[in-house]
Amino acid sequence: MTVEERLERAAAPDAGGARERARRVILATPPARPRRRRTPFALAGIVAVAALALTPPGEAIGRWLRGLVRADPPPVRVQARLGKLPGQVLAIGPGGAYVIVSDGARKRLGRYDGAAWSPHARFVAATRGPLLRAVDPEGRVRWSLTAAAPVADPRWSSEGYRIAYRRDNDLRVVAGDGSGDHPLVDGVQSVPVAWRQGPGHELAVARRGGAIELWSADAGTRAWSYHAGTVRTMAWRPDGRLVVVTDARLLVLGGDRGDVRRVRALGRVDRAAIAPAGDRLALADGRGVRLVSPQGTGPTRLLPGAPVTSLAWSVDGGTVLATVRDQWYFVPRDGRSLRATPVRGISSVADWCCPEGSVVIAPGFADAPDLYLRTLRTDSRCGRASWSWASTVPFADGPRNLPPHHTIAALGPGDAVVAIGAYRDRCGPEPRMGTRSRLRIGQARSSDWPGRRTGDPPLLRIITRPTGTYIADVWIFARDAAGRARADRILRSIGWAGDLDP
Amino acid sequence: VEDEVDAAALEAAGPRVRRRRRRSESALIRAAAGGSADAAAELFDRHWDACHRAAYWIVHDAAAAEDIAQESFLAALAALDRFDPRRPFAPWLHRVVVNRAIDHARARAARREVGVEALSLRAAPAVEPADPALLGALAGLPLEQRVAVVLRHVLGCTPGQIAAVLDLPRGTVNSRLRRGLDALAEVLDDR
Repeated sequence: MTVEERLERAAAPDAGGARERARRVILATPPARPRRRRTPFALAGIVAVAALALTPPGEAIGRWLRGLVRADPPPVRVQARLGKLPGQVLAIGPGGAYVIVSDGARKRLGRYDGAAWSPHARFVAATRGPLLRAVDPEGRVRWSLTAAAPVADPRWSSEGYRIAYRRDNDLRVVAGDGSGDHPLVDGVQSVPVAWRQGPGHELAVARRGGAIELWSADAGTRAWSYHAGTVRTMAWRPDGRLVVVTDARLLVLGGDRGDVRRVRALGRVDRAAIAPAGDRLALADGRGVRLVSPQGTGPTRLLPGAPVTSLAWSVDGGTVLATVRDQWYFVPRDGRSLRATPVRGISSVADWCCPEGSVVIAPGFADAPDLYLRTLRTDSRCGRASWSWASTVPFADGPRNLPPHHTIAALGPGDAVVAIGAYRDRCGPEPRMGTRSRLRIGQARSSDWPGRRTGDPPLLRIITRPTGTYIADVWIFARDAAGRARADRILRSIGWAGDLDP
Repeated sequence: VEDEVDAAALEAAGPRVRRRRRRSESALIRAAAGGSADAAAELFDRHWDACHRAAYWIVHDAAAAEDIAQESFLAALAALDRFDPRRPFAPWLHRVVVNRAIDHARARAARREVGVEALSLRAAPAVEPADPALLGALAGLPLEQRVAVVLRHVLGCTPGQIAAVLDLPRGTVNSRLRRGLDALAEVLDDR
């Protein structure tokens, strides 16, 4: 038999089984929705409105329509000019706060003048006047708190259990569910706090006298203080050190004692943003943006129309977004190029969160090769889903082979959806669960596991967390009671113990 | 009924039957785009095997091939409302499958995976390939040659169709096919 003949006759192994599984999956998936067509009635409506607008009474309708457009600008497809926008941007404009999602569409959250994402973008802490609210990305209010004075600069703790915010010149802390609001420090600068990763709910605060202080939000005690001056921004590095940018200097402080480890002169700094890994600074002065390494050097990218009104890093640290009035500039971390687009009705960017493929991952446990992490990408049209290979990571490998935006993190209470064998995303049931064979353990397939084909779930746990437009899953295959206990221990260590099924 | 008409019979029957089949497929596509589950099932039945085989012989991984073919079908069904039903469906679907398989093969080459020795227990044996020698020989080909060979001899595409699917000059396709088949023949020693 020739090679050609062998190829033509060659069948894939288990072709019948694969066909049957695929048939079930594909036919269980909701059918494609036909594209909407503009009906004659809609056309007639448009003609009627246009005709009416030309008449004297119609002018009032025209004004009303124009008013509507001004109040809430139509969606702007940022993507059309810039390619895919990684993650979700929280933006502020005269019309309020907006979420600009990865496909470039804009959703209005409400009339807010300040906002910050919760970890993984499940919620937004939004402020307006004396109002502090937790809202979901659709703008629905979860809870609301009215203070005695204007509030600003809300920031969630890294696991989502606390929110620090400024009331006038005082710093206050409230629990993630809106309870337990209490004062922490008085006399603070107009700079958002920096929550430290790890237990204890510690946060760095910039005081009016120029001191940087580390406080415990729960105990109300101060751990250390260091005089820094006028602070522009601060952030914790993954190695536990605090990076502080003042109006002219870069400081790196030890996390435990506040001792200074590095000082660099930076020149004039009007605004600053620190990359998530702490290895790059974006500094705005009157001319544009400088991208500066920890050594204090780096290229300057001039931005037409500067000064810059806001700066934000993407979560993967690959891109800086600088706004100059309603012009958006995307600058890669090497500063070698510049992409710009006008985004009408947006004056500043408050926060940028959660790129595609973002996944919650725990630290490496060499003895736990049976915990895998992966993401499920949900299609915005609903009813379709696809797995992201890039985030399928052998747990035993730990975060070493992950891109930097895969960070160790956890969510607050109420964020988790827990199910075994099936679950729902916001669009409805995921039809392919239980038929997938892609999940691997080494070279083995998930379908190799006992109970996988029969649907018997006792050894399988699936913990699902929505993360913005994506859903992060932890699939745990515990082979026995010891494995299950080990998985429990790991989940507790990353703050997911509350997600465990009873 | 039309599923039972094999290619030879179709060819012998002449243009009338071929037109009927094409019309039928375009009607199926319109119906599936309109949300008909029956039409989607019919499309699946007609095209699944070729897609699955092609994916398998490109990636050499039964589980991944199953996923690739599944996802290609889902993507194609989701995009049917943008597909011109007057055009042939199979080449378009094959293009989706082959591109996904190529992406997978490249991604796998760049991704480190723990070995099977990491497991203390495997509950089921690995799936044995139907023709291990052929699988091994094909796996030894460079990806671009492997894809051309699979498109030609598993999916039955003409060199012109392969050139269109891969967006390559036809001469490049021919040379890849020639080199790929020569290398396979050398390994398999059947010529």
